[in-house]
Amino acid sequence: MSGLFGSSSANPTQGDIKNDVAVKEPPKDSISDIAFSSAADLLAVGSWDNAVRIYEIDERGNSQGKAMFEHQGPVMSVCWNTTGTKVCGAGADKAARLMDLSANPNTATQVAQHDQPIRCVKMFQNGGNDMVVTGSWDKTIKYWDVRQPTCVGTVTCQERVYTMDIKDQLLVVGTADRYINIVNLSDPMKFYKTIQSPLKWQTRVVSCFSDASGFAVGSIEGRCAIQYVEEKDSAANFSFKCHRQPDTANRDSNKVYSVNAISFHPVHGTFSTAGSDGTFHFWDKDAKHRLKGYPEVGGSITSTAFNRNGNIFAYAVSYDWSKGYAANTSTYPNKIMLHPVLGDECKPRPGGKKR
Amino acid sequence: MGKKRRHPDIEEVLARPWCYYCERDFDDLKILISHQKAKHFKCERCGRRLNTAGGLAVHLNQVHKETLNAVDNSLPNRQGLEVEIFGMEGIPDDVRQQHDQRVTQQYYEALAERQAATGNPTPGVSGIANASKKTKLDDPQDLKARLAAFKAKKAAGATGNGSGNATPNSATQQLQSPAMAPLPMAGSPVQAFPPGGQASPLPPPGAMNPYAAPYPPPTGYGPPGYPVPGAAFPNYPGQLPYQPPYQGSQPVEMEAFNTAPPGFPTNGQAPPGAPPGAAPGAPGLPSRPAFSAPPVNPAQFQQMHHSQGAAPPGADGSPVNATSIDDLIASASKNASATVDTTVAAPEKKGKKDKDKDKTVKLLYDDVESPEAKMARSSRYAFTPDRTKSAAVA
Repeated sequence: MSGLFGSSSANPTQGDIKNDVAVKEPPKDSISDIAFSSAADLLAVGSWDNAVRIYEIDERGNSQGKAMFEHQGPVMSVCWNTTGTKVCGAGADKAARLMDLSANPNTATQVAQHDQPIRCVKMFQNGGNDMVVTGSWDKTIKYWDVRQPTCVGTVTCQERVYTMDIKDQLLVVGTADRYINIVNLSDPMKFYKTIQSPLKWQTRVVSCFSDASGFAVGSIEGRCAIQYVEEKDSAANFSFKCHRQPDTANRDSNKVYSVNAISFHPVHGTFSTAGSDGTFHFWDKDAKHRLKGYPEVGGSITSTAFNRNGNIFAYAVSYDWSKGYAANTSTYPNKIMLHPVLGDECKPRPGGKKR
Repeated sequence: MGKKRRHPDIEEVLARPWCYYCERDFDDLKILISHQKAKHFKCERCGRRLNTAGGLAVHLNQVHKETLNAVDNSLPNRQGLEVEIFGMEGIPDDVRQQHDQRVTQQYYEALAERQAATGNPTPGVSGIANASKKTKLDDPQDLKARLAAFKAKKAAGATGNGSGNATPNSATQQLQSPAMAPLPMAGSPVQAFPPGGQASPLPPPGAMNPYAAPYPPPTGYGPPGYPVPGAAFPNYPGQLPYQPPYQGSQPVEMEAFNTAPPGFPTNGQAPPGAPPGAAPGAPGLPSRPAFSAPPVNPAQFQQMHHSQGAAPPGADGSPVNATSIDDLIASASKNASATVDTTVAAPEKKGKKDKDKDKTVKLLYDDVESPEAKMARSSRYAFTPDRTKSAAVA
């Protein structure tokens, strides 16, 4: 983000990425999704090359491959179970596959089946049992008990499922046509609430607050919305523009990029957005304030994740199809970077809520 | 009236907008506001002009991560941020009263000073003003001096004919207020004297005094009786410089005036010089960059068109089993070149969205389909499981 007066690292709002380290031996094709385990610094990476890889990251940012399993088609989503010991991937082969890292790494068993590619997979616990929820382009979400092969519940959505996120008992499902369904997982078979996205364009990503009181929505039109679940908090809802580049020739026009990923910091409750413009930013929703912006990383950011204690911010740089077929060249960067979260980069503003 | 009054009255002075921070006053509220923005609410880091000190504080805090402690260029007791000032709004009452009091005091001080200097009465009292305008109170010393002079003259013995007649006249004048002086003079015998210097078109130095102008040098008033001319003619101050060699000096001055005009033509030469300087100035500017609003767009559009034609090669029946990317690209570009002319549909790719304004956003995007959907549909990522061959491409 170079401003009118140039950019410098002295600017306190501009972070730098020179200390970021790349994950070794990244996938060979675009990275679709990354997720950190809640138990250790294990990073699961789903890729369009059909594989789910698990990397182990040490304190100094060194990474090494830990495990891997393959799908029959591109992987579009990966997740960990709540205890951080099992990895589930889902993708274009219309299946979700679960791997128990402690029991038998490198082999995955199919746990879910849809009629169309599965766009999102998430796991939660119900009565101590790991449950899988999958959202598919067949316009359904399905719940699966990993111990039995059949679906334990299907909920039909208005449209194809594009994005899901889960936090505690809150499940948020974003679909095509800007529907957002909110599910209370203590009553998973019905929508607790259905809203139209507060944004006017296609929902790209939803991400639950750390306290599960609401969620953030990112759209293709460089905009992000903060939405609380309960009506009583609706006064705090707002949206803001992000991931836009002013045209140097014409001040009135902007290049508007998609918001591809939103991740909440597990400790501070602040969050990141990352977009097709190849930048990421840290925000404080309560102060309505951008904490830090970072320069371009060289390519679209497709997925982001904080590790369990929030001192690593991982972001995947790879082609996200945002410029169509022709821009998909072999020189396009394809990597996962680990950004050390230092100092108060992600700390909310002192003084708490403002205005 | 037309002409702007040089000295406004107290209401106008008090109504002038003034700046809380530096106590400067302005003609117009707009000017005050722009003054405040430029002097007190300007961010020294980026030059941005905020509307209020609070706004500047927030700006500094959010943009530059700094805190504002004091308002720039402000008086020492007005540096605080507690008061939210915008133009004349927000000024605390006590400060406003102080200011008004001070301005009023200054006004009357200035008025008194001016009155002392000019002898003009307080403006705004029109009817009486004209009469009182002429009222000029001579200070007692002057009066005494004149009285003394008169007495001295009387003591010296009134010998001259004219002066003998005139003396009582002038004596009464001296004792009267000066305002009365011209009136008796109009009828005075002095008027009857043919004015010696009357023919001169050059107004006498005393012309400021309309009554004094026509007065010839009063020959009747012999210098012998009036040792001090200034004291002798206190009522004709304009006449004091009258000199006998009046007409002699005049032609010299006229000549001087006549010589002046030849100097003007040099001024006339200046304008012709100016345009030639200005005219080449414009061509001298750097040439305007050619207006190429969407320099990226054509390429991008083409890309989009290409990709549009190419994206669903599988669907079009082109080789799905392309083994390498190169093959795929080759076939795709072949497809694209064949279809690019006939492509009517708007490019569907998400792409960078150039737009004129935030309000009138035109996304070159298929809002219905996600990039992943498109990506998954491409032959490269086609899911072709062994068991369901039909599910290759949606």
